[in-house]
Formats: sequence, structure tokens, C-alpha cells
Amino acid sequence: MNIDESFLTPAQQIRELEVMTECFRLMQVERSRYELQAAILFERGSFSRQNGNYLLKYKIKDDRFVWHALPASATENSYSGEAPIPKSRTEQIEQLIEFFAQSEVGSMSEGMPRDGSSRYV
Amino acid sequence: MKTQKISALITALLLVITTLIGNHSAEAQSSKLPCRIEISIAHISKDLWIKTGKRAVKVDAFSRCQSPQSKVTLTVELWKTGEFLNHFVYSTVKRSFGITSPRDQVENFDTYAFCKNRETTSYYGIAYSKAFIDGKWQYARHVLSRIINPIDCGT
Repeated sequence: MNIDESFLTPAQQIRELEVMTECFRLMQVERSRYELQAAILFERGSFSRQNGNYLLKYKIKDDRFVWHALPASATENSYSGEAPIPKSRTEQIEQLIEFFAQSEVGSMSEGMPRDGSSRYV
Repeated sequence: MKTQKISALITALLLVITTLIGNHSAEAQSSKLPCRIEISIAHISKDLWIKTGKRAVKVDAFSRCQSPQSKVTLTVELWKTGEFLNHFVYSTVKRSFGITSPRDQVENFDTYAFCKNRETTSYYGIAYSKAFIDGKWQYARHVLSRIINPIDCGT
């Protein structure tokens, strides 16, 4: 398709590639951790974990998975995301693996560390 | 007969909804309004595909205002069309801290979903925002992608 699918500048396209490549990498490398997190989310309905300067909050709300990335500093941007909950448990886990990775790279270019320095709250 | 009536009713409802959304889109992009949102056509990230062999469908959006804006919240939703109803795929919200000058824009380029198969699916994006401008909250109504794009990407 030749129409303007995306209006990103070359610099923004580089950043987009970095974010999505990192998300794909996390989905593979952190799969075990994400499966554990999925089990926690199904059991409790919500949980939080500190990831660098951001507190990542996850919850099940109605028919959606929801995440919020809240900065430690009031001078930082905050982010959130939502995805529908699939019907089967297998699909739910696969959805959550992508969902957790997306939440961790959500503010990648703005200083959210992804060094594994995290703790559950 | 009953099925035909239900089908006609659903089609009529979808047309009304589409028209309403179209009007909102035109309003949000009007130069008379203090803010403007633009959202891209849903597309496959080609660079990601080339680099990793993985495909993902994506929409990008930004908001720009004629006056300084603060506390900007820009929401971007990715949807796919269905036989009767459209289906929500993923959404993200960026809440921007501080004041954004008229020269700058608030961007949300983080709304994407990885393809699970090659099933042809039509995707589109919706974006909307709110911001604190000139002492009051301003809302930019829903803007739809200009084209609903069929892509070989099942999600």
C-alpha cells in the first residue's frame, strides 16, 4: 500500500523499531516470568510490581486486562493499556505474555528501565 | 424473515454510528477548534518484520493545540472489523506531564498487536484526548483512521 500508513519521522521510526523489537524479545526471554505473573493475576485479580522508576499495576476489569505505569516522580509521564480477555485459558496466557511485555516497554524511550530490577507489591 | 430483520436493524445501527463517528472526526480536525488529533492508518510495521520476521499491526496518533496545553491525555485504540460488530484489539493512554507548547505535539506511538496468523483482517484506529487549555478542560472527540485497511494479520 502506497498511502501514508504512518506519519512517523525517521527518528521516530527508529524508536518504534527499538520498542517493538524489545517487546518481541521480552516475550521470548521473559516468558517464564510472564507465565508466573499470569498465574498471580488469575489468582488475585490484580497485582503490582516495581520496575525501575515506575510502579506497574495490573488488574482484571470486566472483560479486559488493564495495566497502569505510574512514575515515582510527579514530573514524569504516566501510561496505561487495555486488552480484551480471550475465552480459553491458553489464549489468555498468550495474550498476557504480550500484554506484560508491552507494559514494560510502554515508556521505553522516556527512561523506564528494563533491567529486571523489580519486585512484587 | 426474523434473521433478515435483525440483520437490517444491525446494519442501520452501524451506519448511524459510522456517520456519528465521521462527524466527530471532521469536528476534531476543524481549524476552528483549539486542538487537532491525527491518527494513522492501521499498518504492518515493516521494519520490525524485516528485522525480526515478526509481524505486528500498529496505529499512531498525535495531538497538537493552538494554545499551550497541560495535563494532556491521549488515548489510542486499535479495532478490527467483524461480521456484525467490530472488535476491540488493544488501547493505550499517554498522560503527559507538564505544559506542551503550541509548537510541540503529544504523541502516542505505542498501540500495536502482534499477528498470530495471516488471516486477512480489516483494522482501524480511534484516537481522542483531553487537555487543560486556557483554564478549562477541552475534549477532542474521537477521530477515526482515514481508511479501514485489510491486512494479512490475524490477532
